[in-house]
Amino acid sequence: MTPYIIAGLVTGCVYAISALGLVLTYTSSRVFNFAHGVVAWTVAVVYYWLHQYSHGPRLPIPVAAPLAILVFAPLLGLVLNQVLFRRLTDATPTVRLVSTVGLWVALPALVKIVFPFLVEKEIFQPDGLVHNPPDPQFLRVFGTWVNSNQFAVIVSAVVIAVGATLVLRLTPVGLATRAAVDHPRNAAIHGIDTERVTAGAWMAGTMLAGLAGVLFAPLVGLQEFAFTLLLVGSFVAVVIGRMSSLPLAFVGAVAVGILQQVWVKFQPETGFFSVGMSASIPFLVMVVFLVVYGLRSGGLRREAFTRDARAAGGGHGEVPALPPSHGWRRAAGPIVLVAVLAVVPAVFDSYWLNIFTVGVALGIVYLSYTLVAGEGGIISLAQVTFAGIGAFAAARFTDVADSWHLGVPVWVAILLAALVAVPFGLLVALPSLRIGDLYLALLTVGFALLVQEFVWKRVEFENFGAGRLLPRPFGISLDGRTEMYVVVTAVFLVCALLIVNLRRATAGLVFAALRSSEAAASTTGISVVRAKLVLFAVSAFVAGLGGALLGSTIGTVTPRSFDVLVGVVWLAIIVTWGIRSVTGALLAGILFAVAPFKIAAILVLSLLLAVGGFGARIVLSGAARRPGGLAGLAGLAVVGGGLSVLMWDRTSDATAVHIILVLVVLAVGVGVAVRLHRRGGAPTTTLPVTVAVGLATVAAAAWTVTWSLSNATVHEVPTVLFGLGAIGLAREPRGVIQDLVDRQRLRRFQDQERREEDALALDAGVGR
Amino acid sequence: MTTPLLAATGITVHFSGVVALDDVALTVPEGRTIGLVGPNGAGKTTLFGVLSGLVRPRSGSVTLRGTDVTRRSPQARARLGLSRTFQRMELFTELTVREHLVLAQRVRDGRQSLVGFARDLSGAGERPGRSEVATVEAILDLLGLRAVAERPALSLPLGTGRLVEVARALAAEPSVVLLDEPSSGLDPHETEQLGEALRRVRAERGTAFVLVEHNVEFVLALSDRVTVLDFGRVLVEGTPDDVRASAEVQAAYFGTAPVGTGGETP
Ligand SMILES: Nc1ncnc2c1ncn2[C@@H]1O[C@H](COP(=O)(O)OP(=O)(O)O)[C@@H](O)[C@H]1O
Ligand SMILES: [Mg+2]
Repeated sequence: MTPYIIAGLVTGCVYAISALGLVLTYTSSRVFNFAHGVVAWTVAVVYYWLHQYSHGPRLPIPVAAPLAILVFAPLLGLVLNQVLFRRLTDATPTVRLVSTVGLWVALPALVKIVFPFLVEKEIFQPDGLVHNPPDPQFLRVFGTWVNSNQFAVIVSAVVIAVGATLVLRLTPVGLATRAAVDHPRNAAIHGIDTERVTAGAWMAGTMLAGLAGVLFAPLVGLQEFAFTLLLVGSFVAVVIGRMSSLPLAFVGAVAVGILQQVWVKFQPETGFFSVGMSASIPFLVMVVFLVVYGLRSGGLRREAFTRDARAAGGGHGEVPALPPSHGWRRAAGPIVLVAVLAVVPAVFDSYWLNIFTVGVALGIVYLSYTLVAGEGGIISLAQVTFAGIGAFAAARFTDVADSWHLGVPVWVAILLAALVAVPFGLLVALPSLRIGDLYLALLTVGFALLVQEFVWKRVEFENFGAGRLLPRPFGISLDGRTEMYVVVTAVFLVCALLIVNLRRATAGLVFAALRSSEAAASTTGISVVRAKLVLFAVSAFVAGLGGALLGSTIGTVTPRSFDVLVGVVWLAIIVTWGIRSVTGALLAGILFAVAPFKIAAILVLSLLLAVGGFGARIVLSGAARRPGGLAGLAGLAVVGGGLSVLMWDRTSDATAVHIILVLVVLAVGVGVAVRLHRRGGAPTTTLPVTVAVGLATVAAAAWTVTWSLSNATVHEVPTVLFGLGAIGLAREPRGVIQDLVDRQRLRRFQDQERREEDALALDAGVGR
Repeated sequence: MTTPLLAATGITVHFSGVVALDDVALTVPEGRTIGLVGPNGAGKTTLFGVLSGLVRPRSGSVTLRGTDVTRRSPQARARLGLSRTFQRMELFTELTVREHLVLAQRVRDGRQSLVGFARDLSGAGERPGRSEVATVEAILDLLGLRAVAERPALSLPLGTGRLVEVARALAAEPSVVLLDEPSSGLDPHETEQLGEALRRVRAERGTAFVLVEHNVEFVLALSDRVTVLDFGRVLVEGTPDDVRASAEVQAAYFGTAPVGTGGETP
């Protein structure tokens, strides 16, 4: 028993150190960092590179550890705060969540690009603060040997706990931090520089994450996925401490770690609980605490500061929402969508058509994000699980040898499988009665991990790694690519139509009301809970349907397709292309499907994102009237186009995809440039700045592209861009394309308003 | 004596040690306007929270049309004919002014039911009905919001936003409306128009109001009875004249300054 407790204590201490960092950063900046786990991982990787990597500097531990934990980690925190978190404090909770999810996606991919050795081989036993393997007989406690690594972890945790207490209680810095944490506004009034305190908190928080990462790596290896466990372990601790109490979080983390290891001791060899239980314990503890806290009076409501934020600006200062388009503009999107979908089978060969079919099926899954996140404003990371439920249920319903076999036609099985996802959707949504959206987001992560560890790992599902077979409906064979494309596309269009209908009707108004103010919605007579339950139920159905069709198109259903981390990437990519747009869902689906298949295609599409999205953002957000902005954009367009052509040249198998995508890149770039040119205007800032930004973007893109083409990390490039897209576009619920269109319309709208106001002022002047 | 439309008795609310309300009572008879005044932090907004169901009182009870609603949800109270505005504006930022009113109407008509949902899915839920349009137009005119009807709430100036809050509260055709500082941020002309609108609604529909205001003249002119709160307790309850005359109120609230100098801005 004692060895298990000690092992648990060690895991718990690592969770605790990490949780401390999470609470510190959250309380000081109100940004809950979903990327905390990957930040820890990043520092662990840097440490490994400094200390152990065969072609690295190979510094000894006493040099490498301080360098990674005390120098690199705080710097990373500072940089992240300056470029990202600082901008988020005044954003809505959804935007804050989505941005850190974007970081969760982008950062590991970026790290893998910088350190390709991570992709080339798995690193199982890196050194922690002591050499690995550790000295097994370092210290004897209660008749049990504590190894040197365990000792190092426990000492670190004690040092951190004592240090944090002393710093926060006794030093002026600590007092300032506590004041800023408790009452940011009062602190500001009393002359405390809250910005500096926040920056400091991010540096300290990242340092704690880094320490946790370095300590965690020897326990689980240097795999990115393993660090999701660290993240969830810290989540639980933070929930136990209700996002604010450091001591409670610390104790909670240690308790969870011990519970997990002690379970290993009593785990049955066979039977239902023999699989995945240990990994599920953090989630179960989280649920227990959410329920307990939620049931107490007042519940765990939406974060209190969201009201402050709204009151401070009175809702103003943000970009006003535009009135809806009328007439042909409103119909333009759908018509183009259907036309393009209709043309696809004629243009592409069956290989590509199959990939597109997968993309459209993914698009159906993504429509569930359109509902939950786009309409409901709720960040759910469990959509991938609902999709998996649909897919696995369909596979088992149609397998004659399975105990779940139903003996119905495949299409009926697929529909029933989608229905199976519905109760799970309701189950996840139910707590939203009593807990706020941030807790709900945590709950969805936990739920997704629970299903992944506790269900998908079972042989009935993963089938010794082979996954389960799922036939196509209506007797379509695996060669019948056009037929399958037609079926999947039809389902997508029907779902999209229903969603658009919903959005334009009373339900759409209800959802918009909920996104803005639950208080006002409820006093207007809207049942908040019912609306959320309906949303989750419908979205779980759509996700299940999409998941089942995805499995059916591919032919097999594997747990890997429905991994939590896949779901996180899905969220990032759908945010980039428009969380509230059905077209965005489709584009995102196709992009994700194309990604692993055609490197060149992705790079071109990434460039489209860079050129069309970031380039235009840089230029349009203020630089629009400068000739420099124009030059920068034209440069982006030309270089982006040139690179695309180059890429097309270098990949021998030029296909229709390449030609079309290159043309699209050029069209977008040139189109925006022409638009801006017509606009003209007087220069307001220096040309060099804008040109430098433009050239830097292009240089970075070119460098990434050419450099990474030659090694194994090329698959990470699109992932980085998906993540960055989510960060950059978190505030734009309708995605990058609509963003461009809206900016144009907004400017016209504002011009018109200004004219109206001028006219009014004139009238008033005359009247007087 | 008939049962009052809305009544609260013995309301006590604590916020982590702070006593926000202490054994407060408030009675709103059918069709009457009750003024609620008091300095900042007196507990007026908290009392509105208790009446509308957003704040759970530690003790006390709220009845609406004779039904005990103390444990009912805000939406249940809204369906029973209670609506409110918010001191810190809580507009639906993405919706246009007209959509605010349409939504409030439709929710009252029970369009959030499953049948309504199915109709929405089919695409048949988009077109507004005739009576709906008429009501919405009437309210837009009443508060002078026609010119901004198609604008999203986020783009509105503060004063207009307040009027939209009031309009949304009226759109559900409630029997009692709680107005939390509706005139703060309005210019004198708009304040005038708001007062006029409230009088008309009261005359035409017999709607009851509870009015929280810092603009004391505005309250005293509109109210049938006035309750003065101070530090979570009822200081005085009576007619506007009683309140004007009360020495306690003079001392505690108005200081020695003459009545009607307006109020602090929030
Ligand atoms: N959500 C809350 N949490 C803690 N204290 C609160 C909260 N809401 C109000 N209070 C406190 O309750 C008291 C009454 O506030 P409020 O009802 O807003 O007063 P009024 O509307 O009369 O200005 C104040 O002391 C205020 O600080
Ligand atoms: Mg108030």
